[in-house]
Amino acid sequence: MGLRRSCRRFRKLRLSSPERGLRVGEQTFCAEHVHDCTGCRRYDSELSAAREALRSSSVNHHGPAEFANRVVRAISRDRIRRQFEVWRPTLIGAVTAAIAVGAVLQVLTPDPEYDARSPEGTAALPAPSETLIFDFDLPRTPELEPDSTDG
Amino acid sequence: MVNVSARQGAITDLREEEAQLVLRTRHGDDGALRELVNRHRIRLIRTAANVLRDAVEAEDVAQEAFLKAFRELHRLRDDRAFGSFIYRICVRLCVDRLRLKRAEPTALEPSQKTPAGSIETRVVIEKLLAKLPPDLSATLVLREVEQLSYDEVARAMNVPVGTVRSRLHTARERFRTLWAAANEWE
Repeated sequence: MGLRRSCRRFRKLRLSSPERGLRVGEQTFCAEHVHDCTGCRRYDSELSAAREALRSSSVNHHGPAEFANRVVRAISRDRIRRQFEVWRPTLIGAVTAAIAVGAVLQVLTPDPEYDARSPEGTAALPAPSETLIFDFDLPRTPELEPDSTDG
Repeated sequence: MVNVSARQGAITDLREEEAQLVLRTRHGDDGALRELVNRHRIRLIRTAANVLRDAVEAEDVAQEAFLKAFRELHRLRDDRAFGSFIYRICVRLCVDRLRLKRAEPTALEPSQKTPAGSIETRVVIEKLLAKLPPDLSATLVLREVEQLSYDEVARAMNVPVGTVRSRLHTARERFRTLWAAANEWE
């Protein structure tokens, strides 16, 4: 069931009245309409009650006293993290370069311990043994004897 | 007339002072940073608590707003507008949170000024607000609870004034319907 034109006008005015206020003619219209229309009277009271309840439900939460300290600490951490992010590619590049240089130097530099043992670089190797020594027992193979029954 | 000009002068002084604090913060002064946080924290947490209806989440959002504001300080052209700059960030974060999560309300510290028995009303209001779309809910709260003007709501939500008017009209109507239905159930 659709609303009457006057009801629609009343409700539209009522919804916008908190901000812009109503002109004298509009106020008169609303007063007369709400007097005559039961539905709009209920609408009006519901709107007022809902608005009042909403306003009274305001929360006065201000947070703990140490909130400012917490925020300042978080901002400081964030600054450091962002600075690290800015320098991270450079740091990664520097570390990689250092590792590469270290590896190259390791390859190119002769081993001093090796040199101390053998200036020529060959004598330090263990001498090859002349005889091969087996320190395990080979399984004995049974000797073949002539069969005496042959004959 | 004298009072009005004196008040405007005081506001201008405050804004200039704030601009100085922002400038010092840009140069890494932690004292100025702390002063700025202390100046704006109460308003931000209260607004976030009213929009989100969750005290813990309100503090998180306020902290996030401060972090974001100081991270994006280079975008602020006029240092005197730091207040509205951070408020806008906070409201945007609140609406984003509402979009992401329509959480069940948690316990809030009761307001000292509200009358006895308002806890039940508050719980009902929280449930009803959660049924509204985030944009409508935030607009309604900013206007009705935070008592911001149309222009202020428009700036905070980064939308034209006409959009605020339209959203408010729709939000009031829907909220009334929900309120009436909730009272019928009871």
